[in-house]
Amino acid sequence: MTDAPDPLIAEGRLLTRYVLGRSPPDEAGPRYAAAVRARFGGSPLHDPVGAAAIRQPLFLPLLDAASGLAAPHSPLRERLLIAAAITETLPQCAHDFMPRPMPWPGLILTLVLAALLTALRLLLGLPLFFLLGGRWRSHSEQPA
Amino acid sequence: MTTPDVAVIGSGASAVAAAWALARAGRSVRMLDVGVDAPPDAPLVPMADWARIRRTDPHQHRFFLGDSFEGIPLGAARVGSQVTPPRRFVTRDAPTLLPRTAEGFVGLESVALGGLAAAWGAAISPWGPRDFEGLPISLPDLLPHYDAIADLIGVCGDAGDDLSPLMHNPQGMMPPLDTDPASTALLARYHAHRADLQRKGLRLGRARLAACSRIHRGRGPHPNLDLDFWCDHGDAVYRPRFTLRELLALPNFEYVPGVLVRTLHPDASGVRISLRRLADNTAEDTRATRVVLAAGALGSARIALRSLGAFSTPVPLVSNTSTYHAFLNLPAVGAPQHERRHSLTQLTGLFSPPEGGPEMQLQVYSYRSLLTFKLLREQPLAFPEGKSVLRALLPILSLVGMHHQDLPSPDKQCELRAREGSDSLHIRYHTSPREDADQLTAESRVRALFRSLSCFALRRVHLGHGASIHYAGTLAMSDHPGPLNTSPDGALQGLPGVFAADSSVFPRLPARGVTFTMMANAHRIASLLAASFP
Ligand SMILES: Cc1cc2nc3c(=O)[nH]c(=O)nc-3n(C[C@H](O)[C@H](O)[C@H](O)COP(=O)(O)OP(=O)(O)OC[C@H]3O[C@@H](n4cnc5c(N)ncnc54)[C@H](O)[C@@H]3O)c2cc1C
Repeated sequence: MTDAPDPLIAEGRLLTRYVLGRSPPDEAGPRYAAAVRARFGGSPLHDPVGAAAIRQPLFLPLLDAASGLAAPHSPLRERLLIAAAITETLPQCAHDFMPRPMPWPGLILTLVLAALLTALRLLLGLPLFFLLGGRWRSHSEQPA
Repeated sequence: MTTPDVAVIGSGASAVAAAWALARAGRSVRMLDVGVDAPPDAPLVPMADWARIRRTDPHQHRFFLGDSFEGIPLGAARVGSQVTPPRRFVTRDAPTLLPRTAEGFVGLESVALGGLAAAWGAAISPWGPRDFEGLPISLPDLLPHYDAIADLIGVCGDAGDDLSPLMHNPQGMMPPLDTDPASTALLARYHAHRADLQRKGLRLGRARLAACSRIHRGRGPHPNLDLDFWCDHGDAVYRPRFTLRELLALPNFEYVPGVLVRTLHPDASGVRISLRRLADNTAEDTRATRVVLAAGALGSARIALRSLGAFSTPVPLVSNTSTYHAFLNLPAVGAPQHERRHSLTQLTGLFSPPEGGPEMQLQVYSYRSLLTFKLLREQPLAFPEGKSVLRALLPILSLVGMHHQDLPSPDKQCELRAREGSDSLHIRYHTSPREDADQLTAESRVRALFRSLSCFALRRVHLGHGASIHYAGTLAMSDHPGPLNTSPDGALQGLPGVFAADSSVFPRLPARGVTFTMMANAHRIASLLAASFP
């Protein structure tokens, strides 16, 4: 008999990969699960928006962008924050979070690209967010 | 146990300053303290620079996030976010041992060894002559004590900068720590426009810090590893435990941790002190000829009010309003980076409206070592875009704390309320619409001056009143002391033999940080007390 895979570890792998933009080291998933257990008592995301983002990873960037604007302290954003904290403190990933000084052209390009991507994601993400029952400025899970 | 000349209550910044003056003057001193300390198995931060630790240390999550991941801030931003997991002991047990309810006030208290200054940012701003208005003491009374405290704690700063005409430069001030690239660029821009800016009321200079830029009393020099929020490498940034270490080497000093002082009972031969031993929750009495209250402005008020049976009797409370402003510091675009840096306040500013009006103090920080993920929750973009934008902006982000003066008012008070078998401090703190409007006006004038330096404000954050962690006024000193006041020598009315030495004695708070002046005043009060023994 094999143990059922821990859904929190799977959630952690997905969210850390998304935040990082590439595969995170193996310890990211279990450490994410430990953090969620310590801070929220430990069930996988189950609110409609969060659950949809996990079930259908294509939705994740859209719902993240929409939640960032509409519900910054929603369960999905709080879990993404945990994923970011876990990845940032892995030595293999630290560089991805370090300040990156750039001259004017690089800075402007980075800002313009981020604005375009955000506009696109919001265009699709906001309707999806409200369709899934997301609510404006809804609140977070209670930290343990 | 023999009866000491003086019992000092607390081990925070004011307590060690008072104990130092007393013990050095030959008095026998017993320090009574709750004294929560860091757990012995706390993970140690390696002696390497921040970037190197980030790239190489597989255990960094233990100190950056904490073993229970308590360093991940969830929900809305809260007071004390700079208190990182290795320093969490500073606020541990305070809510249970010092119960408090509040309206309009968020705050931090400590029952730690070293008190709040075990986590403080070490920015010091000696008060100017105007800051003593309404106090029964003046700047000349404090000058020798500023120098004595500067020698004790080690301070650094630029004695020749634009702040010097407005601030006493203590004797023996060490050269300033280097500023990081963003603040260096901002200061250079200020220098290019200084005449105009000074005419408009703004002065900027390098931060005066309670930190050793060279070896001083066996501490320092500051290693510039950008780890100041996480550990005390080189013991360079001042913590009260360093003075406690020096005190413990003296034969006439004794430290008694693990006790919560409840009440003081003056009698013919001194003061009986009722306390609770926390290890076994037993009540006990001890004695001292005199007592110095240095349990923090709120903690000392509790002990005084309880000792006098003054329940439901309001006393004043003042606390600087502080707001934080994120600026895009465009002069720093493309500035070359370096790893050698500290994480404390980089620059200090003073803004005095040229037409008159209260001064405002500015503290300029950069953001790096507290980790990028904490800012991700403050921005509205999806995490991957937010991350790349933040990485690009962090080198040019300047965070400016704007600190306002605070004056007492009937809407800013606290009182001790009896609860079954115990009591709790209730704080009611509301500023007037006029104060709020004046503060907003002053802040927008400073933002406009920063715009002229090509620094553009992105966001203002006000975590609530009390979030400055500067509290005072509860046992205010006065030339004509009444009940629950202190006289200029710190003597508490109604409790003969008891002296207050912390910030509780300041009836008002100027915009400049309180801790250095509080330590100097504690040293002054303790010196007077030491001299009063036959
Ligand atoms: C994160 C942070 C940053 C800060 N930065 C700055 C800064 O840059 N510049 C600045 O000027 N200030 C700063 N401050 C404020 C500064 O730390 C405080 O003003 C100062 O530490 C207050 O010292 P204190 O001696 O009055 O009392 P506290 O620090 O409050 O210490 C109280 C002491 O009394 C003991 N105690 C309390 N009640 C009892 C009791 N009943 N029985 C026995 N013992 C008791 C406690 O154990 C503790 O040792 C900062 C504070 C924090 C938390």
